[in-house]
Amino acid sequence: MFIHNAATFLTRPADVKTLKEELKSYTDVYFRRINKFVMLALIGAYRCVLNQQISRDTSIYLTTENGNLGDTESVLNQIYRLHSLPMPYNFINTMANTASFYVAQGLNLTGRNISISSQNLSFERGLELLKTDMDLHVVQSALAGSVDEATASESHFREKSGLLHDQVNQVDRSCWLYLRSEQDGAVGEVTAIRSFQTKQDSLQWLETHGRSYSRPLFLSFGMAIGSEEKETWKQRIRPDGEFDYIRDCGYLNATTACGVAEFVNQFKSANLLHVNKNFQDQYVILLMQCY
Amino acid sequence: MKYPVYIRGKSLVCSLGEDLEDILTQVRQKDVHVDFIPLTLARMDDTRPYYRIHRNHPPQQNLETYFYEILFDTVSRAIADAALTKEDVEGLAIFFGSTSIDIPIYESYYEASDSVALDLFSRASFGYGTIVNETARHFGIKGPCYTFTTACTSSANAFLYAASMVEKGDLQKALVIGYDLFNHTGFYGFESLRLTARSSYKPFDKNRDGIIMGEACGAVILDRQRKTEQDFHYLGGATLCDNFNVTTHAETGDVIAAVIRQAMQYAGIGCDQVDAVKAHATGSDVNDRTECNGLRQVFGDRMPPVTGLKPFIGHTVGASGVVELILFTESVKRGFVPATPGFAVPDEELTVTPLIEPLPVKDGIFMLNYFGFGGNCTSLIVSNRK
Repeated sequence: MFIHNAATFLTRPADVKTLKEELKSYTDVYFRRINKFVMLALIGAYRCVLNQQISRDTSIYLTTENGNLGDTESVLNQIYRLHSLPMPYNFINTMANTASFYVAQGLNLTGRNISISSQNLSFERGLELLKTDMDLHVVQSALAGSVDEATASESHFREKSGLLHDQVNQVDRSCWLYLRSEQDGAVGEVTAIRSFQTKQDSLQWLETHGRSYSRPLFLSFGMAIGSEEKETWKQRIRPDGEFDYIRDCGYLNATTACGVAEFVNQFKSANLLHVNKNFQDQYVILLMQCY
Repeated sequence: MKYPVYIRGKSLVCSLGEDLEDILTQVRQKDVHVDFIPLTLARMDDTRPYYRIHRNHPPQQNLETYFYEILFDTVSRAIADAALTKEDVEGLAIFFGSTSIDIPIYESYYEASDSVALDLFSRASFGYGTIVNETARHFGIKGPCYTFTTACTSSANAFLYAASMVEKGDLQKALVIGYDLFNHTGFYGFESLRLTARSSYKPFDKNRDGIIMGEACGAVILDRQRKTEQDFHYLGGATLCDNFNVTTHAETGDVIAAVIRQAMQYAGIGCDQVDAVKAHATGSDVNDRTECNGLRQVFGDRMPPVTGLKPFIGHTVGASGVVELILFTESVKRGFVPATPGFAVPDEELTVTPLIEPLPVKDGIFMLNYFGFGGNCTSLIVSNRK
């Protein structure tokens, strides 16, 4: 899977008006009654295809942890508090694939259009699906993105991260890769994406395959990897440096997609090994190379 | 090298019950049971039909418990049906498809609370992936988990990707789940779109007047190894996006035709090899017309027998992929393609007449089509021909 472009859109929680203005700077297409989640998806995707020749059969893999938050609240409020039928567009916008639909409509794409999630590993799982499609030769080009609104809940954040809400910056984010099966004109490639049932399995695999790494090699981590565990990985992998995109971006809830896209945009002739896990301690290792 | 993909185990709970033999007897006999739910929450003095699951205790007592009870019970029965060992179960990957995901649970919390919904939302869930991870934890499953949220094609796409990964050799076995439980967001949401039928389900009928929703949970185990000679196998599939409109496909049916052609090409079959088609057949005016236009583009005057299963169990939205796959394949195993109850008056505009009586069949190649909001179009091709 060859990376032809990458884009990140990361911002402190933004209002719809601000996002609307941002979206206008990429397209004249008018999207009727779309919500914040859809706008985020569109902004990231439009950024990713800037100056790219994108074929109509390009597929979309939108990954998300929480999907839209705002419209679901509106719909529940309309039904349970206002005792009315929900507004049709609010109801339509509760579905996460509404966002990937508007990306397809905005960019006039008719390929596959998949919205998926997998607790803390959503982007990695999206790439696995894309790899399957490319290996089976049913998809030749794709946009793979990670879209989420900053969670509004203090309790949720505390439970998930173990950190107090006001100790960290949260982000509205939309980070995308444009990938093709063709290498011509690529800026990098995803060289491996592997799932493991345990940390031990992943370390074992890395030790078997580690000798073949190209250098320089940078190591990066997903949000669930704690500082103590990071040290273990560093000792085992002995990278040439750590790429701490979460610190560099200034936001704690940045995802793998943000890290990979930032790496593509910041580095040349370098390699990235990204380690991530979910809350059941299942691991995914992603290896990529920037030309 | 491509590996074979067999449907090795299955289980289902829907408005017709949870005993497969009993369910299929009702399907053969065209038995239909619909509930009527009052639109009380929206302060409307009316009811709408809905196909509800009937279990022993009322769901309102503890909805979260009820939700997981149905899910875990269905998965348990699928695992037992496939005769998986403890090691097999541990190595499973899970592909979960749903439109509502855990909205029914959120709603129950929201209804019981007066705090701000967003906070409730986040507290109730760690995100869309929660249900499938809870399932993995409950059964000791250690493979990767995927949650598909592509509206009414959710579990059809979950099946497509699970089959593709087994076929490619990335996985030995996979558990595919389609699950949508009754929720007010969907029930009142479809009403707000004026898509709900008033009394009975009549897909492809001249007098069709909309969809009737249903709740169901279905689970299948995919494996490279078949358990019995009768097991169905996956031949191919495809999915595409019609970017015409978020709620409707272009009426010409062009993308529907394209996805059907892609699925047949992948399966290596021609039009004349399709023995029957399970249509999506939602019963809404535009959707049925669009689907028939797509079918006609592909099959022309040589239309295979077509059936729609929603009059039996309702439109189970994201769950319909797996649920209708089980209903269809298990009917064929018992010697018939189900009829489409409720169909009475042909629509000259559609020029597709679904089966009005069960069609006797021994084996064959079958196409199952699914279409949904967000432009999603998915076509699956399965066979029980040896």
